[in-house]
Amino acid sequence: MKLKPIAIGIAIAAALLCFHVGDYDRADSNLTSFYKQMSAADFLSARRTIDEAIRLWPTNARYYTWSGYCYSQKLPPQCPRCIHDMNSTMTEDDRKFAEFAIEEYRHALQLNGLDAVAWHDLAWLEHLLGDDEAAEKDWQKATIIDPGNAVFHLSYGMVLEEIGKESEAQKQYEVAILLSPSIVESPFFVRYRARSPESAAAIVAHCVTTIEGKLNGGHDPILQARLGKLYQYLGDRKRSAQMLQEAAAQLPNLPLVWLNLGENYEASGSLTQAMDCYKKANIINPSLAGPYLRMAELYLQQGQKNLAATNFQMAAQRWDRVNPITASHNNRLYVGPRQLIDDLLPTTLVWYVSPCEASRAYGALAELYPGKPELVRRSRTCEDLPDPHLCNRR
Amino acid sequence: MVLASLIAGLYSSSGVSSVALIFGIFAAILLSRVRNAKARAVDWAILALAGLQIPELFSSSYRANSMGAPVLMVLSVLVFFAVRHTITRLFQIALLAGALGLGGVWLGLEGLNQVAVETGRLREFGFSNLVAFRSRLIVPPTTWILGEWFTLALLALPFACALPIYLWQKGRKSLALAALLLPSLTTAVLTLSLSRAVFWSTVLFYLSAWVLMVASRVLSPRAGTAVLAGALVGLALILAFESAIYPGIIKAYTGNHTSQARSTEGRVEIWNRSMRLVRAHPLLGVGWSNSALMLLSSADEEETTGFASRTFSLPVQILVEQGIIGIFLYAVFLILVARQFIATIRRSPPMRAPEKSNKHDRPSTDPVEKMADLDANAGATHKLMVCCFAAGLIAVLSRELTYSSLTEHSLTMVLTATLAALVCQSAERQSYL
Repeated sequence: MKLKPIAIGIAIAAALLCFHVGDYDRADSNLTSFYKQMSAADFLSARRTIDEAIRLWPTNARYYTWSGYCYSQKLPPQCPRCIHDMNSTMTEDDRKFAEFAIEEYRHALQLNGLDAVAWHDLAWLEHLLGDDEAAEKDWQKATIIDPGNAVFHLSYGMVLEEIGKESEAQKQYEVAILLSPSIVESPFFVRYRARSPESAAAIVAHCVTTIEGKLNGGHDPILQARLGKLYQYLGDRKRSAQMLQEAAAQLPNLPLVWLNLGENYEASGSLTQAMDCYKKANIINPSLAGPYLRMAELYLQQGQKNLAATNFQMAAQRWDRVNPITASHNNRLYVGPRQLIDDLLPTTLVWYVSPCEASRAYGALAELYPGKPELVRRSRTCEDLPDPHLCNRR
Repeated sequence: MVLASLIAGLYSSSGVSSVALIFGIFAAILLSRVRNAKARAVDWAILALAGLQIPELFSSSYRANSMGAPVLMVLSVLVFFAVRHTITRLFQIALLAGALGLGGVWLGLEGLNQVAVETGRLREFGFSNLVAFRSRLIVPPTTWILGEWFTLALLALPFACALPIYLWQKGRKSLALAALLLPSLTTAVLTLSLSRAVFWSTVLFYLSAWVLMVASRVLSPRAGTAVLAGALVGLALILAFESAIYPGIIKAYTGNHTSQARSTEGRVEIWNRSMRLVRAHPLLGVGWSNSALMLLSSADEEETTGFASRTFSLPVQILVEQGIIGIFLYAVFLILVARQFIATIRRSPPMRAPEKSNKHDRPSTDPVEKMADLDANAGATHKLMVCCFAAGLIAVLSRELTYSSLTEHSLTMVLTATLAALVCQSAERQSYL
């Protein structure tokens, strides 16, 4: 056979294929619009857009998870059952939307059973509607599918704590802190420590022992960085500095190492070195709120009010747009438009389990610009973040 | 020219350019008046690879991820056939290579500029060790990640080298020297990658080009040694110049920085996990673009190397995503490309013996002898360029032993298909004159 007819045949096949996948391309551009609409809290348009995307590409599991997420936007960010009878606080509309969302997540999981975020969100919705048995199973699935995601462990732990499985909850918290020790500065852990100081101390102590055991005198910079953070939390500044310095020497591209090292220097009065470390953390990852906050506080100490104000504003702004946790992960797993927003439920969960710099930043701004009630109000942002499980507050 | 600009249009990475490419190529094939050659085994092998995508799609673990594969594959196969069918003159090869090589120059200029800006910023804040920051020295366009971007630059290198070869052989020596800027700039950015695999693949490109040129007798050992020495001296000069500006670069390719050791450990770990997936899905794999999704649940929370979104090896990726059948078909295709390359080298018109050429102090006036001289020169030019393209394939495939990026973008797939097609372009089809 000759080359030309084959080439023509392939060209025709390619053209037909392009027309065939054209619907999928349009569906993906709808998804891009959907992200923008969700970011702008235009849920009505977002609903229409994602429905159209599903119509064009009905076998794409991601679209159903976004549809479920869209339905969940009006649901309460807290499970209300511990203080009231659930039915008295969940309106009929809420229940209906939760059921719609559950249906969409289940559809998504039928198409792709490996979506850990979908399992997690489904579990939250089931828990919200009182089906704790199914919720627990689904939370567990999320942690099994993606065991490296600290948020899943925390979220699972929170529900275990709520349903009275305290020791299992502690295990999940421990895994989460081992993965991401900065959780100890999150509103979640601050509140956990307040209500269960002994458990919190035991978890951190056990995490330290575990990492020390793994490190075993070796030089794994990630383990050293984690241990350095936990030593810092425990107030052992000397060992913390040693671990962090060793980690920074091996891997100087870790922003949180520089941030924590800066805090150590600041605590010991070496402000120039502290500022140097904060600047390094900031240049490595300008999306972090922490370095801006610490730099602002140092500028304020030095009397440089303008610089301080700018940095406080940057800290508050960066915290507002806290680094998406699941978005970057999903972008590596799924083909399609870049996901720009997180899809975790409840929507405030990401802020609740991340270090919170907002209160300090807004508080300082309120002092710098007196007479702005909005800033005063916002200076309690971290404290006002809703705990997804009200029972845990008891 | 049309084909070159259509392929180069893929650099814009928009969906429209893929459609334009298909229709442009369709028109070019329809209107072409070149002699219609017979399809060879290698053509059927690449068709089989495209055909494999149909069962692959149905057996895919998550089909929505694999939907792009047939388009990507058909596009590459189409370009392969278009090059095989329409690029039949040396001038056309040179033009195509020049246009695609210019893409490498653009990548080079953009990369060099970004490295200069970013190292300046890092130094300002007291960071002197660039190896740990290598992933941020160059920021590729949104849809690309750095490793894929370097694969693209490496793919552009053989095209960039082919143009000076053509001009030199045509006797346009000053133009050829000027055209050396194309491979020099591309090489310059590749040596700034601070990636051992990229750097050593670049070195391998020059070495294998030399070996192929000498082994195929297109260059005498003496001339070959001179060419290799020139290339290596050029490479060393580029590296020395870059080291003077950015100290520590050479150490990145010879030392073992913590981040490099971690990167190696992570790769070994992910290959082990990949093999578990292969055992679970041996025949057709988990489907195109599904390796990351399937590998996710096998990650261990105790590891500190973190989850990686790829298999970090093209053969492993093919095994995981397309199974034993897939890897077998790819292997057959590559073997047939190699066989076709050998045939191309053998069937090219023989070079004129140097002593015979030396007898003529001035060009022959005998029209028959003049034609033979021209034919021999064109044959040598063709061989040199084909060796260059084959070396490019060797270099890219070597780089892909420890990274998996070729199948991520239509541009990398199409450039690889173009290289393979040019390597397979048989000598008897070349209208040299």
